[in-house]
Amino acid sequence: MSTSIEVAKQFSRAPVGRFISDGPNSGQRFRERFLAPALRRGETVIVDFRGTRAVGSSFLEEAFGGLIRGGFESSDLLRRISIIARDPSMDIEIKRYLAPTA
Amino acid sequence: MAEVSQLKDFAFLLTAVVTVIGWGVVSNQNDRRERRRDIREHITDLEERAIKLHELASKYWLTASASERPACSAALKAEVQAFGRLLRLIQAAGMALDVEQTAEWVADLRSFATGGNFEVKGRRKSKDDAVRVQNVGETLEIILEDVNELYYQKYPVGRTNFKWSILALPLMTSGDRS
Repeated sequence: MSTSIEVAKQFSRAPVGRFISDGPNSGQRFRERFLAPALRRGETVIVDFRGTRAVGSSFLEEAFGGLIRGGFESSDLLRRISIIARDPSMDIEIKRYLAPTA
Repeated sequence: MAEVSQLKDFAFLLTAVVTVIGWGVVSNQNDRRERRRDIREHITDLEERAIKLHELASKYWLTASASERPACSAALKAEVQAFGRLLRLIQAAGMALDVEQTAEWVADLRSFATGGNFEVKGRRKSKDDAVRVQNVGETLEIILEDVNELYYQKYPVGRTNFKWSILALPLMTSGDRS
């Protein structure tokens, strides 16, 4: 089973901040509300960043790197998460957070 | 006399062929010159954006007050995004930038400029902030150096290509056909 998360439509057009205390559109909230539940259901997840404004690395690191800190296996995440973005550097950066020892 | 007439016809054909080839060469050189000019303009734009990006990073991490940070952080993220877009445009315009290398550069730039406790409320300044800004500066320098090096490899300065001017000789000597 596959889940597609359109960040701009389902979460926010302007993701901002790292922690929930930073605001409603933070990386932590995105991870806890969208990413982690889909991954726990055993689904593959397609994260579509098209339509969002520029995203900061603190958001990306908390959203995706936080999955590793939350106990998910790196190799499993790399296999199950796909990124769609107009900027190819987003995919590269997110993969760095999903494979921190690589 | 018939032989002379045939030779004259043949000479005219040769002149026409050389002329068409000459037009093709000139047109190609004009296109190349236009492309070079376009790419040079984009690279100049990239250099200006690099300065702006570094200034924004310095402002956000080193000097901005708490009230200034939201606007500054939005501007910094947008500038990183625009920088990446411009690199891809330079690639599309014909520069042989490696796609993956370019993406790695932008990922590095983004993580230096907007990583760590970027956009974290109540962020306190630390010594690491200066290192972060320095990393932004160094990454920008590396990118600009590589882009300029590739540009000058593709369009070396001061080399004039005379080889095609030999085609002008038949045109100059074709003379009177009557």
